[in-house]
Amino acid sequence: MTSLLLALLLSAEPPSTKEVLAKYDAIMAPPTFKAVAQMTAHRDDGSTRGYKMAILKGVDDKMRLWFQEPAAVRGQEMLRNGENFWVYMPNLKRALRLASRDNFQGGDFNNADVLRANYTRDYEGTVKEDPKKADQWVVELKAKTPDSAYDSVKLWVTREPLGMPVHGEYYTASGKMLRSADFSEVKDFGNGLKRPAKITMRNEIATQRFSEMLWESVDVAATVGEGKFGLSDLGH
Amino acid sequence: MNTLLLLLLSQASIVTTTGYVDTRLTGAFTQFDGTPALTLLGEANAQLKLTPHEKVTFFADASLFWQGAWELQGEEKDLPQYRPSVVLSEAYADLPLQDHFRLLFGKKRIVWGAGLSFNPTDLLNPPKDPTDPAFQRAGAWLAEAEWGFEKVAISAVVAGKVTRQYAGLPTGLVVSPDLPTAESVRGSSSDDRDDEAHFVFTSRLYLLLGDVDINLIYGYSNLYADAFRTKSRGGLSLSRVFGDFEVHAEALLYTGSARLVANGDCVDLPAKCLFSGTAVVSRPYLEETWLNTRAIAGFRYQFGDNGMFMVEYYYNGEGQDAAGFERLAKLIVQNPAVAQAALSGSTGDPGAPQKFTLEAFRRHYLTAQFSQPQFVDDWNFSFTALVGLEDLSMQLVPQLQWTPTEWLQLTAALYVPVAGPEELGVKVGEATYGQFSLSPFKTRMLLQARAFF
Repeated sequence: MTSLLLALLLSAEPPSTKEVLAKYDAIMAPPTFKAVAQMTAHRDDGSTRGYKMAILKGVDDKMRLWFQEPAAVRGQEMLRNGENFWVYMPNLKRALRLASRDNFQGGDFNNADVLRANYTRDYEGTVKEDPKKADQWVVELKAKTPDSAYDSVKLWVTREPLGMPVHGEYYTASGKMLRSADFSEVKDFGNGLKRPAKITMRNEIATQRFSEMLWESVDVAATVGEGKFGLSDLGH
Repeated sequence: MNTLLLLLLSQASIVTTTGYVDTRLTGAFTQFDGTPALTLLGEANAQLKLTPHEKVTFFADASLFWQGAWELQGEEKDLPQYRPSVVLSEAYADLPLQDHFRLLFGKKRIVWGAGLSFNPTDLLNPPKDPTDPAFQRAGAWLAEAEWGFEKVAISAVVAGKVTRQYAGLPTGLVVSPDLPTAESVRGSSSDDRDDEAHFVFTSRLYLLLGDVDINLIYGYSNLYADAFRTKSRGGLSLSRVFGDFEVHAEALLYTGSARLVANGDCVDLPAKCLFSGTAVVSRPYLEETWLNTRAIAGFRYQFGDNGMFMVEYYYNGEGQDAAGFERLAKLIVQNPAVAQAALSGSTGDPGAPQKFTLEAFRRHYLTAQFSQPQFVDDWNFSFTALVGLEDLSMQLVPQLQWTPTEWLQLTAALYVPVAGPEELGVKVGEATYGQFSLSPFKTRMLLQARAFF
């Protein structure tokens, strides 16, 4: 029976890139949600730095993020609206414009990894089989816009359910691998959302470094007010 | 009341507290009498955010400062600016009455301009340290109404000047108190009361247009942060990201100038002018109708390893020309007490004690800053140069910071004023001064420890 299923899977035609990316986006970045996540950055010397944040996602890929821990960054906020990113500095009492490829709090994620999770809009490419991983599709993506987080991405997603990410590789325009990610600990967050709770992002340039993002809660049924995504709301 | 307060404080979800304790030890080579060679400042800060209801937030940011100054050049005395103090940086009620409308009352620092080291369009707040702009958090007593949308916001603010304050709290706001201070009655200080209303109204229209942050600003003030009466001003601020570059500009346009002009006849012999009733310094251009501006333009570049390089050019329309600066410099060097009294005036609320304050005497400045976080483990390095472009004198600030844990920051910084080429400086007696070498300190070293909680 297992062999039959495997044979069926192996013989299946790859789905369209659009279909895979739509499923990926629905899992990793539902239209709206309220979430709490923790990031731990592991540095070259073996020490770690931990951050806790509350995240709000609005329609049309708007995102807002509040840092809650550690005390040194408490009150810092981030906002994404379209191609625009800002960080609100509580001591400066104003927001600064950011580039989407800037590192996120000095860790191994960049701002777009966290705040710009719409692969359908940002990438195009092809879906292929990976002979070594019969239960997965490999999606080879090229950036549609220079504002995307990476120039190209190779993403391994499960065939069933379609689009659940397992592993990712992120490249520069010259083909150099910058980061790799493992998606693990698939968790039921309620209201029909099952997604990896843990993302481990490895720095392929400074190979001793990696960062983990642990999603504690993701509430897709939460009410998300549109007023939270204006620049003037930062700091309030 | 106490029960209500306890109930509110016991609900962790609606109360956020943060703060720090900080010590700053400064050792300096001094050059003017009355300047301390050794100062110690201890600060205990608490920031409390209380949200008892989704449409009400209270916020307070208060610091207790203990300060001491020793090894004064010249006669030892108690310096008022180094006495213990309380600074209430912010204390306000924020009422987001609707999804897109809020009212705010209290003391708050509101900054709309895109400049980092200077904000020419800021008509509200105490000045900041251009070498460390995040150090000044103190705001103004104000009321704000704001309509905020994703790509549009309209804000209107009215603020009153603090005409007298004790322990961080105002006892005179907008108008002068009825009673003179005990010091002025004794004759040890002047009675600075007047019959004027000291206020500012300012508003802005924010637009996110073509990925550009645009702020159009209007201000109307009367003896608020400067000597202008019933003055209207218009401002513009722009900011946009191009790849790894953030580019910004900010300008304030108005007529006349509040520039202080030293009377050439009084510079060498101010006592003669004081006896004859002639003003040593005056502001002759307040009512002029010629167009004046203060403007800043600059960029930030973010390196792949999180390093940052920032350059800003600042044009200060309130600055002196060469002759005017020479007269002021002579007054400062030859008669520092008279110059101090003339320059300080009635500044209202100065905010928190800063590591460096700039009296922008001239017109053209350049700020360059490079910072490299985590260049080794938890060590951060930054270097700031504030350059006066007319005389090429400068203030250099190299800084090393170590963050051994998430809650502790240890910082060592040097403040080095450089006179610039002799031919561009001002000669007073045998010495030549640039604007930054007019500082009471020749070189300072600052050691700072800050623990967050």
